[in-house]
Amino acid sequence: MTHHLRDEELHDLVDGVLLEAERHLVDAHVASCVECSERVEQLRRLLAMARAAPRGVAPPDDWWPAVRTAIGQRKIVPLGTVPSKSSRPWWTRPYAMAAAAVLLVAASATITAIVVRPPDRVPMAGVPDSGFRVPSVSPRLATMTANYEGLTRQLLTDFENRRAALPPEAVAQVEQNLRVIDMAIREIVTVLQAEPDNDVLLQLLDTSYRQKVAVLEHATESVS
Amino acid sequence: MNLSRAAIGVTVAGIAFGGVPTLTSAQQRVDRGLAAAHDVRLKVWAPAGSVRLEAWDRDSLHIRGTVEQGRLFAGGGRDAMKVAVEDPTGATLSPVSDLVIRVPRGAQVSVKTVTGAIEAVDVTGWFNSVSGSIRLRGTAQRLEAESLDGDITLQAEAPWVRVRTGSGALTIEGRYRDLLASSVSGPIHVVNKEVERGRLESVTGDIHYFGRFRAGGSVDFDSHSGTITLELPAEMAGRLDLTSVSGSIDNQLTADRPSKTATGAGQKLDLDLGLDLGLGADGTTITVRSFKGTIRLLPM
Repeated sequence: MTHHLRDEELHDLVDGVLLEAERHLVDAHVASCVECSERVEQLRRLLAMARAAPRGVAPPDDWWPAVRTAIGQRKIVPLGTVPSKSSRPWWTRPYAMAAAAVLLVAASATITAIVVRPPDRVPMAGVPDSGFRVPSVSPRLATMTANYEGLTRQLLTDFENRRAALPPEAVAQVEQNLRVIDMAIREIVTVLQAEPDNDVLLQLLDTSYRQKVAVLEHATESVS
Repeated sequence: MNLSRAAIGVTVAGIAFGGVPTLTSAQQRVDRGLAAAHDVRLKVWAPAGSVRLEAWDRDSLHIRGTVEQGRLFAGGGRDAMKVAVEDPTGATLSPVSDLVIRVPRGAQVSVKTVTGAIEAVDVTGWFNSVSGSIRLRGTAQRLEAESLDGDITLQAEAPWVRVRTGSGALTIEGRYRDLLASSVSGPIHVVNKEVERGRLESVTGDIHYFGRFRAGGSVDFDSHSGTITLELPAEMAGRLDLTSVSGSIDNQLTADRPSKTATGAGQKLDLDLGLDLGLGADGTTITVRSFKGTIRLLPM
């Protein structure tokens, strides 16, 4: 086994339902792969914590009256009780809040620039690539497109790696579904160029992208 | 895992889990029972033929049926089990079987086929086929069904449902509070009384909803070019927000007429139903979006 463990293999290993031949391969891989070994340990720790957690946490009998009282006390702010400057926590002071706002804007701009950067396109053999590139007519469209294209690119790679295990007619069906969805995306984006803030169009585009992701996820899950 | 690897795996597993593989000639009869926890997690792999799952009130698994061109293996612990049909020679990637599997009522199953049809009654879980049909009935906690181009039929009650197909038809009858139904080109037909949160979406497939909504709910209908038809009760209370970007709206539910969208290419219609009678406070919010398809509102 040369590839890292898939989620299904990982969960089967931890659940103890791996078939014997699978287990030999998986065990051998885990023994030699630090990354997968850590994932297995993380999952085992998580499951152990989940098992150890209480089934439910009942609030104390007097919980609700206490909450009501606390809320009620805070509803009225008596005059003259505004905290003095020196007693206020430093993060609530105006200069600190202004600095935080500046940092937030800078971080947001940086992340947006990274996210909306045009992705490197990897054409997949057999998978229709319409050659259509979504123009960045608005930040919302650019962000949405970047997010979904990153995801679909990874799923397309997975699909390519596993397509040999699917019946040919199923592969053809997946490709047909992708063509239909890509055509819809292209039509919506074309109109969005004239109406970049049209919420209905953006919602419809989001739906089409989600359907593309779902088709690819189902195709890869079917053979894993 | 590819299918050949699965075949090898399942073969060896039969011995490891104490399963007793029985060689087939043409057709082999299966009749096996296994002790299981009441909430056992069960994986089923039955590539071709059919598999039917039924819930029963016993802490055990019972597998009955026939296997052709392959072997049946079943094993695992009481809490997690696997049932698989494979061809040990690897000559047939989709060995055929017709199985009826009874599972504890609290079981959570994960069923996968290639061309095989899936049917389940009162069983909670995930049902996945490449091209086989899926039919789910009875009562369940959660139902998730996916088929690439097979038909999916639900006649059940479940609080949470996710159903997806590519070109197959989705037929959904019953009571579902939280419903996602999605297709690419296949039609979606829903008859329901209880949807509270819902999303029904297609690319080119038609969507037909017949029924009521739970008060206070929110349901979205999206299609790129399919016709969306809502057949609603005349006394319905709620808000409907309909937009077809470049298509038309046909309203036969009320006397209100749609207006043109801002660009003039499509139509939109906002309706507040029952609000003047004070019924709208707990009304449902229905949002219908289409790119170029027709939206139709009809009285039930």
